[in-house]
Amino acid sequence: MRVLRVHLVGWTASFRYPIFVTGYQPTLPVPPVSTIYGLISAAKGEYVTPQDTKVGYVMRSDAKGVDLETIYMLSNDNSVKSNVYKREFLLNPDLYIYLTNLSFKEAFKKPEYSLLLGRSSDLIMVTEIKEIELIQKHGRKRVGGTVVPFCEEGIWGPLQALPMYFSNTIPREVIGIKPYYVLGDFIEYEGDSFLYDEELEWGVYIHG
Amino acid sequence: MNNIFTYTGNPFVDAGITAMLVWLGKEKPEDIEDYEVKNLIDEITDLYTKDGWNKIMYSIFPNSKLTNPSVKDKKGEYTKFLNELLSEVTVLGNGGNCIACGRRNYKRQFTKTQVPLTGTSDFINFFSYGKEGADYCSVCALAIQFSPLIFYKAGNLVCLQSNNKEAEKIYANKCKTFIDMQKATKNYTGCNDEGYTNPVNALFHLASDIILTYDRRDWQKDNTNIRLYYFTNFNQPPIDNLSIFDMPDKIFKFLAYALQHEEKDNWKKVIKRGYISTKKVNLEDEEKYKNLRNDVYERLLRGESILGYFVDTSERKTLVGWSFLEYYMKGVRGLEEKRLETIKRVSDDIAELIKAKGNVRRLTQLETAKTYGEFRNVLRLVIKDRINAGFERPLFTIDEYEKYLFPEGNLSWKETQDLIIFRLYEQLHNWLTGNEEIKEIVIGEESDNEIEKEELSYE
Repeated sequence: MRVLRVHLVGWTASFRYPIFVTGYQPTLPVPPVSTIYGLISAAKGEYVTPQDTKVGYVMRSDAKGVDLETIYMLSNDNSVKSNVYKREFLLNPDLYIYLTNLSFKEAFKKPEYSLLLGRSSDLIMVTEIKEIELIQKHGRKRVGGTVVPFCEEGIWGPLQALPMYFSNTIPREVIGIKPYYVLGDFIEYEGDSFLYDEELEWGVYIHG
Repeated sequence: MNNIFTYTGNPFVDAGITAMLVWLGKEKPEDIEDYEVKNLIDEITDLYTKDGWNKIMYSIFPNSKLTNPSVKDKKGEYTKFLNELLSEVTVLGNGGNCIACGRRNYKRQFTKTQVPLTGTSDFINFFSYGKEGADYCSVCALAIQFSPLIFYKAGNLVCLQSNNKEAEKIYANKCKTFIDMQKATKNYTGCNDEGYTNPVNALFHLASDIILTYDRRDWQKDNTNIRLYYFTNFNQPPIDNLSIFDMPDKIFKFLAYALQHEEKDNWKKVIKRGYISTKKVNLEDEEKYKNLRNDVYERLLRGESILGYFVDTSERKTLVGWSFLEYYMKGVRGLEEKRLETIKRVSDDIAELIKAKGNVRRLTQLETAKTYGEFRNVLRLVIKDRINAGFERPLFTIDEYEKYLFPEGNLSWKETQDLIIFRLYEQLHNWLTGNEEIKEIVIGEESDNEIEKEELSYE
């Protein structure tokens, strides 16, 4: 399968667990699929959904740290209080995204909006845009740095309910919430549900 | 009406579903019927309003019908709330905006009062489009109400989640037995509490329990991750009110291997060596040490080596056998077979030479080498000894040196040193302790240590 591979790097990233609104904000080790569609939408400057392109991704980072940050809590009586939260973040995120729609090349060459991986301070930059061939490789391969739908045979890892993307309606709604295996680390996988990036020697799960 | 529940990936919803499965004796979430849930509602309202349980509800559902002091008829009001949720039950659809199942739409928003760690309506900017809570469908919110049945008390509360749903059920069965006991004795004490306050120790205890409960089961075939959400949902929580502890499948498998291995008692000795304490602790009495920090457990979870705990350097002996170590190195540390084989063969050759020449000095030098350079130098001296002693086969080839002994040079040399020392102790311990003449040399070696270091220079 011919795909567009975009390599993005940054200093920090942070992916909230959508279910926790509490004093300690842990981060997922990799972004949910909805973050990838958000990123592509920012690059394109338009609302992008799985109907526009399927996506795969592999993300790694060097370490995890904890930030103290001031938050502002808005009540329904419009009063605002500040508080301090602890928020985990990932250091040196290194993200490869794979898009089945090759026309997005121009969007990543000159992104319309800032590209972020989490908070507004988690800026990332594009370091490479390349068209490559993802092949079907049978047998054992290394897979990880991504999320994979629950019950995919031969895959295991911590589970989390995550969205696929969001609507652009008011109010915005989550679309395609389902349980995913969150593969922070790489595992050995034998099945055929992943395509293979020969150059980087890992499997790529295509969502959408 | 069936097909109302499914696993969602949300830890609290899935915990509630697992609890219902175990209480109803069902296999799959999709098998649970709504009328069966109605029967369980009576059971949990009765349980949650008992004194021992009601106290715990303050840190699960604060300000709820169960805990708010202004609510006089707690049981009646909570039953009413659960029945309201039950009346809104619909079967699973193909899509929806519930943030747990994604298969139904929400009817109302929920806050920490009904769903732990979800914040309050004072956080409206944290919820989508300034709503006053999180978008859960009534079915998922209902499932969450059953999750306390299988929470575990370890200081804060623990919600256990696993990709292996059988493992979750084994754990939930244990909680059910605990609650059945409370009912039988009419002594209601709340969630399962075995006196653990250290969540890491609790994680290893629970995983061990899961493994040993079904010890005939072949855990090696499954890939089982165990995750603990360690939390408190008090109204005024501490800032660290949530921690996540993950036991990856390779650690779970290793634990299963160790606990079912003939050397399981030796493994327990290794664990006991890991407890960190500033004062002397009675290791015969588990209650005295089980909540101390354990470096073996913590290193396993951090992905660091525990090789040092497998040897007793003061006695120059190993606590486990090579086959046990081999499983650990391959299964947990990911060492390739050929590398392990090469290290074993080289160590055996060094042991043979030390025995043949009675040269304990080389063992001391290998043990005390502090840098990659020092260690390489000792190996060079061993090679010279072998040539002088007339051994024809080289200790190792250049290829073996680069590929298997020190594949990453300076980075991995310590692990190679630890493995060589382990094997040397295993091979030489009886020889070192069983021979009076050698014993004297060993004592002499210890006092000569400083002089030995001077000899260790590059030539």
